[in-house]
Amino acid sequence: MNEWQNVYHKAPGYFLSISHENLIVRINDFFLNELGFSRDEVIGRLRVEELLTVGGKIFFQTHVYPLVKMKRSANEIYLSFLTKDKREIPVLLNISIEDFQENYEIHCIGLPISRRHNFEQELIEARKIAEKTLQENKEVINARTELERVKKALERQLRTLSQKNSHQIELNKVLSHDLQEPLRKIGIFSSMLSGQQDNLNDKVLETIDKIFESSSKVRELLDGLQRYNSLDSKNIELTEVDLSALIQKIKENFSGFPNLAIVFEDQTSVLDGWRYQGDNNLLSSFFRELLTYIIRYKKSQVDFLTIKISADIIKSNVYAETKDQYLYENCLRLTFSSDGENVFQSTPTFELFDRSQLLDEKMDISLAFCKKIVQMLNGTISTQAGKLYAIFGTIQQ
Amino acid sequence: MTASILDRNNVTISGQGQRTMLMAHGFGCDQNMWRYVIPEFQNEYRIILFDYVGCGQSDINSYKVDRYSTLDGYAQDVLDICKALDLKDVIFVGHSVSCVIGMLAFIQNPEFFGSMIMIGPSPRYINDKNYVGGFEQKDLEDLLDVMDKNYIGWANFLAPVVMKNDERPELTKELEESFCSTDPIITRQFARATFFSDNRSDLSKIDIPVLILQCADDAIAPDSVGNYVSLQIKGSKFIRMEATGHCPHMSHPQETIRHMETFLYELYPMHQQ
Repeated sequence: MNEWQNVYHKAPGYFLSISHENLIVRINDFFLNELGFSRDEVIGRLRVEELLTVGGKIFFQTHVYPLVKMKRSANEIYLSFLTKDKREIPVLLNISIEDFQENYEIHCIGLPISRRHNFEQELIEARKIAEKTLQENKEVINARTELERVKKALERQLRTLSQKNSHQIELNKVLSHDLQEPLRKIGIFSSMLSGQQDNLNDKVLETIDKIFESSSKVRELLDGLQRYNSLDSKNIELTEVDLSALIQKIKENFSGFPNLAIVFEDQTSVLDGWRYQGDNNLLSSFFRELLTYIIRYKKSQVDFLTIKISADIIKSNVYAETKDQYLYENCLRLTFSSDGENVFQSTPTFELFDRSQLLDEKMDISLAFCKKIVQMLNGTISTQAGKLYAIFGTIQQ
Repeated sequence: MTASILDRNNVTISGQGQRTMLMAHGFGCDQNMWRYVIPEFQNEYRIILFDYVGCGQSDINSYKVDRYSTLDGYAQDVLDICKALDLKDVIFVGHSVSCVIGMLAFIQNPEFFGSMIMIGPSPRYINDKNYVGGFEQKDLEDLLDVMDKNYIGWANFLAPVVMKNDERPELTKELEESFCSTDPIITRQFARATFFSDNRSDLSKIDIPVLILQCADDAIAPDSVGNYVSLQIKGSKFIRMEATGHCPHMSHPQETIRHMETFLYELYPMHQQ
């Protein structure tokens, strides 16, 4: 052993070199003795991670190695080594990389810092307590301000709501009675007129037909509006929803349609014990409305229509409407698709009367109706690439 | 909106080609870690790199604890970028935890993704009944402890250290950029979101071509985990690399590039002409 080797092996510090394969290629006697291994057990056999605690191992692979590789060196890295008899030695390391033609070596020098480590441990504990107190203090103050703000916002919303409610009742009355009555009369008078066919010429008869046609359009519109509007007065009854049973019922509702298959794929069972809580009646209305819509606007060249409904669980931010609020919870996602080019290829707006979807010149409230139900059940609705997605969140009672 | 997302996530776009490669870094790093592999692909692909909020050069003010306390918030970063750049059918390349983040994003919006390359994926790090993730709960507490100790006193140890490097002056500029996340609280949160996640049930939902690259002796995502992932993702291609460790794209870039190219050429043969 020459003079330099002597210093390398006996100096009171840890010398360690690692190959690009992560294997230990060089280590000094002083370090080896502390670790309790023999030279043969270590050189070319152990990877550096095998000498570290598990936390150190992860930290080395995720932080230290990438850092050294990118920056060529890293200083004052704390890692805990494990001796052969599983004793921990806290070590402070300086690390650098040396490149060769084909590969590289990583050199480390370390100092054991057991006593300093104890002191640091105390510092960390103290800092944690201080940070926690500070944080809690901050949180309490923030929570109080937030609560005050929310209370005010709630009051404002309640006021608008009660105002809207009285409008709602008024509107319902108008829709179900005041507007229906004159319409009924137009109907009666028109039939009276057309009853006197012999006295009328063709021109007048044609006009009467047009009056019939227009008034029936208005009636449909009114019925739709009333149906849409009456959703507001529905109370939500939460129960555990058995999707398969529900869709079975829906299938029976649609069994009268020729050349139609409804396929249901349930993938919600992947999460044991998770059950969707919703309102069976509202969901039924949702399914019926949407399926009728898909059937009504299917592309005419399709001879046989298959509508696929699949259900899965997806993590979704429940604060869809609140800015910068995040809470990811399991939600029920229903995906509707049908074969061929379908009505969701063009992105509908889900507005009350979506004029872009006027396929047979009738105004259709179906999608707005569906959207309203989804919203009542704390969800969102959207279309993408020919599929319709309805995501239902959890509902707080 | 677009500009602010690109700014927020420090999105950088390079290369040229019909297809787009979106590369997502793992826990503890930032987009710089891809630098050894991207030159090989820049002639044939448009390459998009980014930093998750809270990492690298991202806008740290956009960090919201609630959002980033689970991997879903990180997946939202990926989706935001896809949306902002109007991406379709991208080749998503994820390292480590980004494989799961990419999966979550795919499940939300499959339209954005065409295929996935997963480097060292793990759907769950903690052992469970009939599942070997490689770690126990207490191991991860130990990791948080090590991280704490690396931040005390020299809180910014990961931040730039100005060093003289006369032999390679081009490195000096890089040294001035911070490499990893420098905020200990954010890094802790990211560690928690990563190592306490369990996304095993999501694997079967991935129905696009997937390549899984598994390193030999990976201390973070062991062989058994990679194997589990490949069995759960139907039709995925599983490759055991000669490369060791957890970052083959840094330690063994040539081998990593070779496997990626083979996979991509099989998938998109048009590129060969």
